[in-house]
Order: sequence, then structure tokens, then C-alpha cells
Amino acid sequence: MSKFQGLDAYTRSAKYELLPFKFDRLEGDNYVITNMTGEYLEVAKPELHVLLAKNLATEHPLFASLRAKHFIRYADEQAPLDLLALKLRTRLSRLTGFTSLHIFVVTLRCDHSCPYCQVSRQMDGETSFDMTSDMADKALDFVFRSPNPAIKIEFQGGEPLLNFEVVRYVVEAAKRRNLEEKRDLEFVIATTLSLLTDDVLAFCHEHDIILSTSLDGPADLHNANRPRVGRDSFERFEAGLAKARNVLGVDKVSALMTTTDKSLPRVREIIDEYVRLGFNGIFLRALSPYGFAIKTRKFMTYDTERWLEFYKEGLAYILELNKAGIPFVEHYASLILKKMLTSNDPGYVDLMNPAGAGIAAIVFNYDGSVYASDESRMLAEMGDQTFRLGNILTDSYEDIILSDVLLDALEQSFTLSAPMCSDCAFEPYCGAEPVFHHAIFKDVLGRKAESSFCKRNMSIFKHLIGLMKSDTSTRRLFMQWANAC
Amino acid sequence: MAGLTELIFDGQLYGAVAIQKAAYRAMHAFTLDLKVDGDNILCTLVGNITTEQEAFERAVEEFRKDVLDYQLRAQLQVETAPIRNLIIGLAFSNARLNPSE
Amino acid sequence: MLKLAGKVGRIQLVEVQDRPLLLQVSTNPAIPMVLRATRAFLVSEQELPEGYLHYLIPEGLEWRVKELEGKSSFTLLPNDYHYLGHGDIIRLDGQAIRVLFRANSGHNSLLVTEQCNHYCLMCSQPPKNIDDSCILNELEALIPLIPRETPEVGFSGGEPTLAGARFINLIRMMKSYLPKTVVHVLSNGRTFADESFARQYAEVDHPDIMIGIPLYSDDPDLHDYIVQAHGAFHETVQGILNLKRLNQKVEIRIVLHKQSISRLPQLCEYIARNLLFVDHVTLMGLEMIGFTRANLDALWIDPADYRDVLSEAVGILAAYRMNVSVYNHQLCLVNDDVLPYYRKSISDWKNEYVPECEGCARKSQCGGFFSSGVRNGYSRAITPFSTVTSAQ
Repeated sequence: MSKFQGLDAYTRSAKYELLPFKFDRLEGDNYVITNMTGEYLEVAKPELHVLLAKNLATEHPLFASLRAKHFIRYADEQAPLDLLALKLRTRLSRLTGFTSLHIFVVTLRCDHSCPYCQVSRQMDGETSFDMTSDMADKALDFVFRSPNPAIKIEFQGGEPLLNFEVVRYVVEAAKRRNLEEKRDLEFVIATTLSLLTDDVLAFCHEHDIILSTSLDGPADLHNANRPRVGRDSFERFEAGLAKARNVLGVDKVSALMTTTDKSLPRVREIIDEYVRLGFNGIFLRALSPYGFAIKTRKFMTYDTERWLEFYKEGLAYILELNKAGIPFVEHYASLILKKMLTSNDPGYVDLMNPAGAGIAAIVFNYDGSVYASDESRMLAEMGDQTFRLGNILTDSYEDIILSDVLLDALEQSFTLSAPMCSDCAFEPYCGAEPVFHHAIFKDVLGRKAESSFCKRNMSIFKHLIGLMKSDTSTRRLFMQWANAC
Repeated sequence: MAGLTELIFDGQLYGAVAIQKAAYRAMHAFTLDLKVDGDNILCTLVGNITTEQEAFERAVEEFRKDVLDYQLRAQLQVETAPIRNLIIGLAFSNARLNPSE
Repeated sequence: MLKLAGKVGRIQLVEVQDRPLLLQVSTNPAIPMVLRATRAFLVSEQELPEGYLHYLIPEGLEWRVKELEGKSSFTLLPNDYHYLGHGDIIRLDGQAIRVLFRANSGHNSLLVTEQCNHYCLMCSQPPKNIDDSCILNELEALIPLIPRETPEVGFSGGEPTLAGARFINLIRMMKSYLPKTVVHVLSNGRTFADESFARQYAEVDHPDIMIGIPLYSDDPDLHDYIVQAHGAFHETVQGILNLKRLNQKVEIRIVLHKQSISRLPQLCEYIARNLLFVDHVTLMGLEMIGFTRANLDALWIDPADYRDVLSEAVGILAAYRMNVSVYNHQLCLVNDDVLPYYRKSISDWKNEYVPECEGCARKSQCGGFFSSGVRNGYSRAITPFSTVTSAQ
């Protein structure tokens, strides 16, 4: 009586067509294939060759997933093209917003003298290293020329609280202008919290300002990284943290770490310190390449290996914490996972293509100089002005944004036309890093085979793929990280 | 004490571009001298001064795999170029609204 | 289970009727004469108000017939219809009664047509390829009679959109006559692959309407097999895209059985990557009714055996922050991590319990079973809860 047809009546048998994708080796002879929007599948080498020859059988266990993830299609199917286009469009839509992060370096003065810091000067009454309100006005003109509906203004230094008058000035002026502009305005102050006062906190509370602070690990590690008269950086940080949370709320204070040589053997302790102090995540940052570390490349390679061990151990510990019921995020992984598992882009300056320099973030220095990024500024402090885009007191918005310095850097570092990057399967997850590569190789493209940026990121991409393969609960946790706002 | 190896690739099966790309990828370990000789492509791999022999040999093995990979990539790129352009065209087209916009 | 249609007892009609009678039921003796003239009064032990178009006499009150004999139209109702109440709408057609609308129910569903362009293995309303456009006539007469404060009305079939412009007209009528009523349409979405149809639908601009569209696999061949229609998957996806481009609300519905369970997590990933913008995803238990029984070998899987797959599926959709609901499952057959998404959903005229449920502390939180499930087969793993909430 069966009017019903079996599965074979609906199984297509025509030859399939390949959609655009890239492939790279994971380990041994196992490959990963990725499509234009970052979806991936693991494929063994023999299967890859059969797939490429268009001979993969419909019954093959991978076939349905290859079709569903848009690696192959039948020639008469339009939906896969529409869907790929849609996802690509979503991924790229952030570009139309243009610059969102504007960094104001309000002073170089600082109460700390951290060895790895290129920028700060000793603390004294001198104000020649302070930004003036004239410069602040001009910088704000620039800020509001950006078409982005969401603008973030971040105050850095030295120690911004040492020039709090200008911080106050900028916040109030920006908000006044915003009555007409009607952007979504966000303010952040990057501070060690050592000089936090009640007045400062009251102001931050009134204007909904977020504090971004530094926590390098347990007290001895933190203090070794951050010398201060009084040797009490950590103690002052901890006191400031409590005060700030009390007045502003726990969600208004975030922490970033600086990773140095001394951090590398102590990742679990560092994470424990974050957990102890009630943070719900950590950004396991790379070693800073600026300063003396740039000089010897071999030192760099060795450092990359050690750093990768540090990172993987830290991530493993964080996964243990999550399994034990303590929600804790590794933020660098989250950024990458967002690119791997969703069509959204996290907008993280260092992992963008085209590069985030200038078009996602821009820096106004205390002396009016405009830099394409934070790294560009650090490079300038070391004597290399390559990425100085101009001066807000003398140059117009167009002069700066359309400068050859910036446009050339963006164009020449563009990964889809870069050697090795353009064929790389991990390109959708990665970014162009012109400033870093210029610093190491004196060329914005760099030689990726020798680049610690490339090596580090490729290793992390493969590692994350491996973690997701081995454990569905890890995969689900990573999906949650990827979709966190 | 730089490593040294010579390889021959059949020019009918492998393009010079694939070999060059594979070599580019391996430049942390060695550099390449390329010479076309009739139907064959002769490769002389000269290890970097700082590369140990063992690392050099591993890099040569990876290089051989990479040559095949880059050859396949070139074919895939050529085959899928038209549809890639179609997809990008659709992505940038103003004709239809994006559901999430 | 409530009986919605059947034969009635003795009828007396004072005037000649040549078509089915659509009647709003009233239990209110005090409404003005102008309104009584178009309504049916549900007789009780109280005094009979005069002037109603028709009187409905429940079983047990036959003695009241003598008050109406020769004077007014009436119908004797069998006990099956004891649930009728004020605001309900019935159709009387010769000896046949059908309850079209129940004011007390949260889930009124209006059948638009029995025609369908699918032939799903588990179809609960098997299609009939006949011209049933008279149903549309009746719906057009019914909608103006539905009480305005009705919270929600559903449209189903067959495939409702096969009625074309008349389907769109029904939506327009819902907006006009019942502007505060939420509308839920069950459709395979394929007609919306036609951009002009999608646009006409969107132009009605109904204030609160959602289309529930089934998608059973990320594998187009498997989906097409389940719905027994070539090309179904692709047209359905195009329909969903068109609807979302026009800012219309879409829900994706997945019925869980052996075929759809096989790639359920992959389907959820597909939805999360490609259709993230849909408004709701529902995962539903299988009804042992209609075609399901003919295809049991291909379809039946004990929900206890897929509880972990269900958890994984829900976990994926929730991780992507999509709205998820799980319907038509018994509480003891889902893992704890599904509970935030579990809805006690079997509609009130369908739900029942089985002997294994005896003594369960969470009966009131559980949807129970479709009566078809009680009759035709259910999980071997039904286990009563001893406590009201789980330990966690």
C-alpha cells in the first residue's frame, strides 16, 4: 500500500561541484578545510584527494556535512550561494562602521616604571608630557568624523589619572557633542588603580566610565613587573579594585595582563589570582615584541614555543575550571572562536583583515601626533615613526585617514593577497598585522614562515580545533564563548 | 654545517609556482635554488645556517608534502574562481536586503 | 480527549435552512434581543430567555424540550459536548455538529485546506487532493464571529498557503477583526520562495504573526525524503530567507523521530550558522497518529534513547542564544539541562496520562501524552518522579 518512497528516491546522484575552499594540514596527514566564511571540517588526506577529484560517494559519512557546510553543491542549487553570500556579508558588515576605538594618550607621566613599557616618563610636576585641552578638542573633531554609530574613547598614558583634568574635559565635551550626534558612546580609562580617589570614582560613576586595569598575576609577579616607589603596586591595585567595584559595579572593572618571561612558568597561579579576585575571564596575551626582545629573532622563536606551552597549559586549566562548575573565559580564544563558529567579527584590532590600524582604532598622542594603532605609538617611542599618520593640530581628517602611510600599510598587508596567507586555510580566523611585521621585518607583510605572529596563531587555531574534536562539552563551551556579547 | 638536498620534480605534474610557494613556507629552515631542465624542475635546498640537520630534514619532508598541496590548491583555485566571484558579487549586491540588517 | 465533531440528537428547526448554520454560543440570559437574534443559547436549569435564534439542550435536560416545542429551533446535544461554553462557535449542518472555536482554549487551530504539496512520513493530518475551498468560505464567515479578546489563533492544514490569495486574505481579516490576537501559521514555507507572494504576505503587516516552518535535516536529501517531496528543502530555505528579508517572524519546527534524530546536532549547527535570525526553534515529540503508524519502522525511536542527542541539540541552539522550546515530551524523558526549554505543551483537548504515571509528583508540570500516544505506543521508560523539583 506504500505510497511512500524510500530514501534512495530522494538521493541525488549527479556529480557535485566544488565550492571555494582552502585546506591545510593539521597534524600528520589530517587536513582541515575551511570555506570563505570560516566554517571548517576535518578531512583525512586520501578523502581530500577524492573530494577534490569530485569522486566522493554520496554515502560517504562526510558527504552530507560537506554539503551542509557549503563546501560542495549540486550545480542547480542556488541556496548555498545565497547563504554563503549572506554569511560573508555579515562577516564584513563591521567594516562599514569604520573607526570605533579612539585612544587618547592624555599624559606620559606615570607612578610606575615598568621595564617593558616604552612610553612612560618619571612622575614629576612637568606638564610637557600632557595633552592639552586644545588638542583634546581637535581630537574630538576627528572622533566625530567617524561614521560609526558606536564610539569608544579610551584614555591611556602613562597613567591617565595624572592628567585627570583632561580626561574630565574630554568626557564632558564628548557628551555635549553627542547630544546632537546621538552615537552610542563608551568611555574607558586604562589605569593601574594606584592613584584612584573618591572624586575620580564619583566622576566615573556619574558618566558610566569603565576602568580597564592591569593584573599580571600573584603579588610577587605583579610587583616584579611593575616597580613603583613604595613597591606596593599590587596592594594598591587590590585596594583600588575593591573600591572601584563598590562604587561602579563589578562589571565596570576589567583586567588585562602583560605577559613577560617571568609569567611563562606560572600560568595556573596567574589564573588563580584572577579567580581569587572575582574576575570571570582572562586574556592570555602574547609576549610584547617591542623593546629589547625585537633585536634577536632566535630569541623570539624560542619565546614563541615557550609562550605556546604557557597558553595551552592556561587554557587546559581554564577548561578544568569550567568543568568544575566555575564559568571562566579565555578571551583570546573567544575572539578566535567567534570567527570560527559564527559569521560575526569580534572587531579585535590585531586580528582583522584588512588590518585594524586606523580603520578600527586610532591613537591621539599627548603631543597631537596621530598614530594608526597602539603598537604604532610604541614603535615611535623607540624611534620609528613609520606609522605616524599626522598631527591633529595641523592635519585634516582626510589628510590623516587617506594618508599613503595608512593606505599603503592596509593594502600591502592585506592577507588575501599576501604570500602564504592567501592560500592559508586559517586566513578567515587570522589578521593582517602590519605594524608588528614592520617592527620585526621592516616590511608590513613580513615573512610569515618566520613570523611569530603566524606561528603563534596557527598553533592556536589547530589547538582549538583539536580541543573541539575531542570533547563535545568543550565544543559547546566554546560555542558559548563565541556567542557572548 | 647547513643541510643540502637536491630534488627533481616532473614539470608535467608540478608547476614552478607550487614549488616556489612551498619553498616560501619553508624559508625558516632553508632556501631554494630553482632550475628548469627540459621537462624537469631541479631544486637545490640549502639549509639556513641556524637550522640543525634534523630540523632541516623535517622541513624537507614538509616541503615535499607542501608542493603537492600547493599544486592541488592551484587547481582548486582555478576551478572555483568563477563561483567565488559569483558569491562575492551576491554578497556585495544591493539588490536584496540582508535579513539581519 | 474532547470530541469536537459528530452527530447530534433530535433537532427541530422552525425555519428552513439550506446551508450550514454558524452559531456563537451564549450562556448569558441578559444580552439584548438584537444579539440574541444571531446566537444559540446553551440551556441550563435556569429560566429560558426568549428570542435566541437557536437553543442547545444538553443531555440530561431533555425535559426542557416541551418549553420550546413548536416555538423555537433547538438541538439536543449528546454528553460529548458538555464542555461547550460561552463564546464558543459551532457549525450545525443537518444532523452534524462541529465545534469550530472554543473560547476557553488557548490553542484554537483553524484548518485552511486539506490539500498539501508534501506527504510527510509522520503527517498527522493526511492530505486530501480535493477542492475544499468551501472551508475558506466558512473561515471567512467564522473570523468575524471570534471573540475579540481571544489571545491566539492558529492556521494549519494541509498546506495553508496553497489557498494563495485567499490565505493572505484570511490574515488580512485576522488583522481587521481581531487586531489584538496573535496568529500562528503552520506552513512548509515553500510558497514564500515566490518573492511576490512573500511580499503580499508582508504587506498585510499583521502586528503579531509567526509562521512555523518545519526543517528536518541539514541534509537536503534526508529532509526531502521525510516530507516526500523533491526540492522541498531548497524551496523551504528560500521561503525562510524571503520572509526574513521582509522582516516577518519565522519559527523553525523539528519533529523528532528516528530520521530527524540521526543528524539533529548537525541540523542545529546548520540553523545556527545559516538561519541565526529566525525567531524561534521548536523541537517536538512525535504524534502516533495519521501516517506515523504506517511508517513506524522508519520513524519510531524511544525518546529515552535520544535524550542525550536532544540535550546536545538544545545546548547548541542555546549557546547561539536562539529561542528554543521543547514540546510534546514527557518530563521524565528529558535530561535536566533541557528543563529551561521544556514547555508543557500538549493542547488541553489532547492530553492524558498513562498507568506508569501513577504517583508522579510532577504531573502538573508535565504535558502528559497525546491520547494517540496512550493508544498507540509510548516510551518504555516512563518513570514517576518522587519529588517536585530535581536535586540540582
